[in-house]
Amino acid sequence: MAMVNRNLRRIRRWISAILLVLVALVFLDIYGLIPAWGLRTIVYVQFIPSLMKTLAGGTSGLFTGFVLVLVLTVLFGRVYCSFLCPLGTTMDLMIRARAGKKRFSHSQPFRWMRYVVLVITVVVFLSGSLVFIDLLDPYSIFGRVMANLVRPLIILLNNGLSRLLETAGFYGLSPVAQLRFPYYVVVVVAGYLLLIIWLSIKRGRLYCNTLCPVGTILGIVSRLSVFRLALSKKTCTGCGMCERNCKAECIDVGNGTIDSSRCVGCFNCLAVCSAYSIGFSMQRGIENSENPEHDADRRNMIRMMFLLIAGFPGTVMAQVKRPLVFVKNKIPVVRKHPVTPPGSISIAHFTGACTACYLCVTRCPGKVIEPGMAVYGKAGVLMPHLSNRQGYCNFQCTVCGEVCPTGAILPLTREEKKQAQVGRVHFIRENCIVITQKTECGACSEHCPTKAVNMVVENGLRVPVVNPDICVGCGACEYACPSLPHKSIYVEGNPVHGIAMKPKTEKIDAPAADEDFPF
Amino acid sequence: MKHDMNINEMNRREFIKRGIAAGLITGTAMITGGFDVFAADKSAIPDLVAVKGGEPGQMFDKAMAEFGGIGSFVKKNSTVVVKPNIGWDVGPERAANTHPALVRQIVKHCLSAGAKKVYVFDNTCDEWTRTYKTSGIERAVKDAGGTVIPGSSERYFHDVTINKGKKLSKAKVHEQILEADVFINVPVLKHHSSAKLTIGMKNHMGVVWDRGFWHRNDLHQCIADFATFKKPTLTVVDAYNVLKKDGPRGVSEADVVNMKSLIMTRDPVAADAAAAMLFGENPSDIPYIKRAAAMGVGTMNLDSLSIKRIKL
Repeated sequence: MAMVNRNLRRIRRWISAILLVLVALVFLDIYGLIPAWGLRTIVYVQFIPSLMKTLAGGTSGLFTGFVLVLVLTVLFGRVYCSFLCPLGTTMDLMIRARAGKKRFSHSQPFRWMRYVVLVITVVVFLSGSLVFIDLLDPYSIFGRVMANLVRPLIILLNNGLSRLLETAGFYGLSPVAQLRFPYYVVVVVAGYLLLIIWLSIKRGRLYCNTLCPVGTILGIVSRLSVFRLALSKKTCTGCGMCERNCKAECIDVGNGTIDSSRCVGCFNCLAVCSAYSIGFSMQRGIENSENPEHDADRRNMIRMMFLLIAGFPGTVMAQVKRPLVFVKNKIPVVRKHPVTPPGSISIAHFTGACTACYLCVTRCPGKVIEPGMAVYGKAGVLMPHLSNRQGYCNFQCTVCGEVCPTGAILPLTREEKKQAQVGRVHFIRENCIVITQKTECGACSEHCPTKAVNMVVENGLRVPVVNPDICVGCGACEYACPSLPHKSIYVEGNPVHGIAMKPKTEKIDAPAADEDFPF
Repeated sequence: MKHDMNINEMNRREFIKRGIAAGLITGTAMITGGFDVFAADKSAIPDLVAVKGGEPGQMFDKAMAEFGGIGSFVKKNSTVVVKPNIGWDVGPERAANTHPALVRQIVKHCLSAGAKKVYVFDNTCDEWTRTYKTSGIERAVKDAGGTVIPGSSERYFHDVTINKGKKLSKAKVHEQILEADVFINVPVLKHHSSAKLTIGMKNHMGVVWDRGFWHRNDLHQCIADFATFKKPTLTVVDAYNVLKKDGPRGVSEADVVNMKSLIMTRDPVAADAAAAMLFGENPSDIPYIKRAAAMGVGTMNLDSLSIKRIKL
């Protein structure tokens, strides 16, 4: 009846290790060597990003990563969690590395909490906020840890090495600029990492079986699985090796059951069972059938769902903040709307799909995409926005749309990009150096790719004059503006992106070839 | 080298070897006449050479010949830093950066004179890896055997004091500008929205770290101040394609005219003055040229110079 394959654990370890390295490289590729299609391929099977992308209209057809994962789950259970999820593999490494030989034992599931968290996540999502998806999606948590914590270390290492080589007169390794992340984002991400490490060392895959929305969704789907692990009571010697090695704590040797909704498909039990008593079975629901406890639980869950739909969104919404503004003295820059990346169509579209994985943040050559905390208020947390503190959006560049795995940023052609108006330029004349100090400056106009900021002579000095209709909102002017403490020019976000008009071009006549030198 | 060889013998051998090598190089140079060191009579070397009607590399060859060949500037085993304008992520046809063919030719000349290293860099405006690539300059330098180095990190820039500076008394300057034996400034002539024109002295803004300070504190004066600190060995103005409006970045190819010109001189003020006239501007209308001349960096009075004009 049961099919036993002891090599499955080895296969799982290899596949998960390779995938972990690849997904990590996506975020740690500090030179930007991996092409956009490579990045897309690597993150293809990540469940939440792929689901978001489909919902955001970024994919055509059903052959998307999340559908593939659902098919795999219907066949073999939650293999996603052990084979494909980078955060899951990270936890497995923690579990392996933990001190001592403490082993696991079967535990009762936190079913109630699982479904409550999932329901909250879904309901809040349906009411227009990705707060819980942002906070809980395992791929995005992994991405944030890589982008915010590991990447800076890699850059530090690279720059140290580069310096060492340069003292030896070799300029071959270039330094890479560090992104300055807002400290509160780093604190949150580090807190997450500590929580994940602590949870996995203490209780194995408890995160996956209580908080992770992907784990819960796939857990529900795995109730339908064709092939599932089962214990054969006939041959089981009751040694308990499987139970002690089960990081999902879902094997109950005493009762001879395996809770497939919590089983993460790591196949450790197959490898350690000396009696070959665990194997794939096509029998349905051995562990759940006639389980009165579980039925009661399900009823509770449904009851909760109604409660939540009725009351919870209001509570969540009440707690969220208004969008960030940039407040300070003289004439401060006050943005009514944050600026979202080109290709994100609108704030609504962007915040409707972004899971805050920060892949775009790490790939942006202009260093303009910056993580935030509550920039979009109730619509989501940790989502990035365009900030001109450290750079500006390169006029030619289309990278963010090419790499975004969630469809929050859709790809643009170069020509589309050059007219994608993410925001419009605003000039604060009273702050401008030319006005306050009566000297030439013009740094804003220098950097403008469309001359939406032009210098017009006024009392012998060149003063910026803006033409927002041809402005794309790249923020080069804002970045370059040297006035202190406030910028004299800034980009006001377009809640819905517009199309910038093309700048007028007029051909200049070339001078005659035989013209004499003017000196 | 053998261990038992005594020091005197080694020096003698080394001396003879070098002597032969030097003789060969000189001889070859005389025969080929390529980068001929002895062609021009020292007294006949002009202060400024202006060329028009050729390709960038070809015009450089002609101008350099008037100066007695690259050997007059670059000694054997010296280090050279070439500073083109690589500010923007646009191709050569847009004339926002120095023409790559000119940079390639300069690097070639320097290496042929026996330069140990030829470094090329800029502290760019757009992201540096993109501008180095899109401008075609990275490729050109590598093809010619030179080395592109970054100007993208503050750690390459070191504090200096500018004693004659009126507004700019301190700056952080790129280490190769401070260390290299020869500094060749290779600006591109173009329209500039804030400085009116950018030529040679304005191109120096790419060898310092904090440009914002200059913009905040009287841009023209800061440009003139810095010119008193560092005088390039040679200024080669690229006026092959010239951005006539919407500078310094340009909006489209329509902003560019093909002027096929080049100016070469040791005097950074004269370089800017001549290039300004080529552009159609009066040098005294460009405040930084006027102020640098007044501060004694060079002359903007072209009549006082011996100028060699070449039409191809």
